Amino acid sequence: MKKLLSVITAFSVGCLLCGCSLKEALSPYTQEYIVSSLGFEAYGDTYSISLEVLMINSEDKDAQKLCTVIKGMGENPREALYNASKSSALPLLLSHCGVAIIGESIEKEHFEEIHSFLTDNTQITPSVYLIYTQSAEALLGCEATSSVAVGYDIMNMLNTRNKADGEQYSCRLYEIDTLKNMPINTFCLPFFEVTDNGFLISGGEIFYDNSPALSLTPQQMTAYLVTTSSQGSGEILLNGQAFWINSYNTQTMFYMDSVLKINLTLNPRPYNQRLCSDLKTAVADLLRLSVETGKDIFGFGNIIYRKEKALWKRIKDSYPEYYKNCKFTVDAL
Amino acid sequence: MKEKTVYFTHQIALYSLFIMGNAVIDLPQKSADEFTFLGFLVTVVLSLSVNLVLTLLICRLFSTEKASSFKKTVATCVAVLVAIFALWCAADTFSDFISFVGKVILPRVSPFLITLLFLLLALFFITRSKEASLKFSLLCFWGIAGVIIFFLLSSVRDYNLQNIFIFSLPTLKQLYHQSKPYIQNPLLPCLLLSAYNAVTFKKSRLKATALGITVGYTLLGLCVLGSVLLFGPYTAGRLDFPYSAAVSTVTLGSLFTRMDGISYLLYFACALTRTTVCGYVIIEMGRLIKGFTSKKL
Repeated sequence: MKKLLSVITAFSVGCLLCGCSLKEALSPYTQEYIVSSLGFEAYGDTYSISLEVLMINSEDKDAQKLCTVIKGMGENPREALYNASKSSALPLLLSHCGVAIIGESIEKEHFEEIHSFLTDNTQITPSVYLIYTQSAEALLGCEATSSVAVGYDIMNMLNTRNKADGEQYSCRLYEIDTLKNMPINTFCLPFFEVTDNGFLISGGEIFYDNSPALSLTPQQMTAYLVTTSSQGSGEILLNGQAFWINSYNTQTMFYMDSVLKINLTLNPRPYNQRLCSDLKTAVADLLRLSVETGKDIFGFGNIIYRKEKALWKRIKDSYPEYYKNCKFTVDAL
Repeated sequence: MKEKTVYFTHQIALYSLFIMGNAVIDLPQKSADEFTFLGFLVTVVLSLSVNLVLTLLICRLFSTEKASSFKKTVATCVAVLVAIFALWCAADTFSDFISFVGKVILPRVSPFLITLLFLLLALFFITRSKEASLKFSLLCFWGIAGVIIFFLLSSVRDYNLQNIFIFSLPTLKQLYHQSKPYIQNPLLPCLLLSAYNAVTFKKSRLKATALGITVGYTLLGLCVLGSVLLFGPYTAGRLDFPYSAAVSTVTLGSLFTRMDGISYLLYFACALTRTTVCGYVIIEMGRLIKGFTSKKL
């Protein structure tokens, strides 16, 4: 009897320590605001945070699901979130946040602060998507069409583009974190444009050294994904023509004599002469734009750092100069 | 009949859970950087060899048969050191687990309540016979192994194999730097297993020791591998709770998201096992010291 009681007690205590709460189990329903997305904007030194929140009555399936946007301002993102939560009647649940939206007003120091806020907050999952838009508040004010919240709609769109079109944006928080800590700090966020009918993915925004550096049109975005080997199997649009790609390979070679030489070889399959020609032109144009600004938006320096240690050691201190004066060739075979 | 029971599988399970302890909550750590997995592999080899040698030595040292006064003196000193180290390990594991529970699992519950419950449970196992913790470990082991493999396979599509590519071999200094977090935890606490083996089984049992350590490090390695493949070594090292963050990204279709609740048993059972074993070692060291010193008088 004593043993049985001991086992039952130990099991109950173990269940409690594993997170089963008797109080919540007995409660008729659980009400709290689920934050589906966070939007960030800045006005000088003041941060503005917009939270898209859902009130879910977990027990009553027929109850109306309310989706609203609450705002808060502060001197840093934490303070802005705190002020936003003060205007909320219920506790905020950040663990289901799927998207963090960066507005156009965000500059370098703002982005660093926001990134630090997102990574230090243990409630926010590292797999949250980061996206870019003109106005985060305007984007969150749109109507959700395929799910209960705009944030989840955005997640669905990114996943669909990944599966259907092979576009791998690498814009999750942990992916951005890894790219930020490479020698060449550059990454690309998909750009969401608000239209009269809702919103859509319309190109991307390149971040270089934590500040927005270059806006990409949809065609430039395709060229960027192809060059960075982020384009998988799927349909791409070039000069108004759609092409289906089964598999794709980009080979990058680096040579150094008096100048840095970059040789890109693009191998889309199935082979299509028009596709290769258009792809070569699009990639070459984007590469030329990048070289002219001296900003290695493709992260070639990171490839050199990983695979050509001796070369990187030689050029790392003056890499932007080498990149600006580099000679490149693009072939599509 | 009970004295003749071997508890071979139980010992392997207990050792595995002990090795994971609070390491599964914290690892990989910040200094892991590029060569995370090389550092881990070095630690595994080191741990295995050191533990096997130490198990043999400690068993002989704590054997009370035909013990000279010099041997008793040395044994007493070693027992004191082991007891102090076990106390430190228990406190470190306990505080890590409570901190993790307070931040991630039960953020709105008073930490006093969690602390009290955990302590009561640990004391319950410490004051029972050795069979209680051995059987508890075996029961939990199968669930934990299943959970780890489940999460590893569920996240396969998000893995980036480049995160574990080694483009150039590290220098010895770099390798030491990368191995340091694994040496601090779980290699050093793992040394207590030799004392546990000596006081519990009175024999060296090298096969069970080797298998237990191998299985433990394998499971821990799968946890570290999962977070490194997903996040990359830098981000995985920077996160407070890398494995917990990794399992929180797992989704199955559109219905099953944030399945990290399934992994909570892993942290609880491993932390409890390590705390219990450390507590048991402290009590047995006390008995040994009493035995050696009373015979002297």
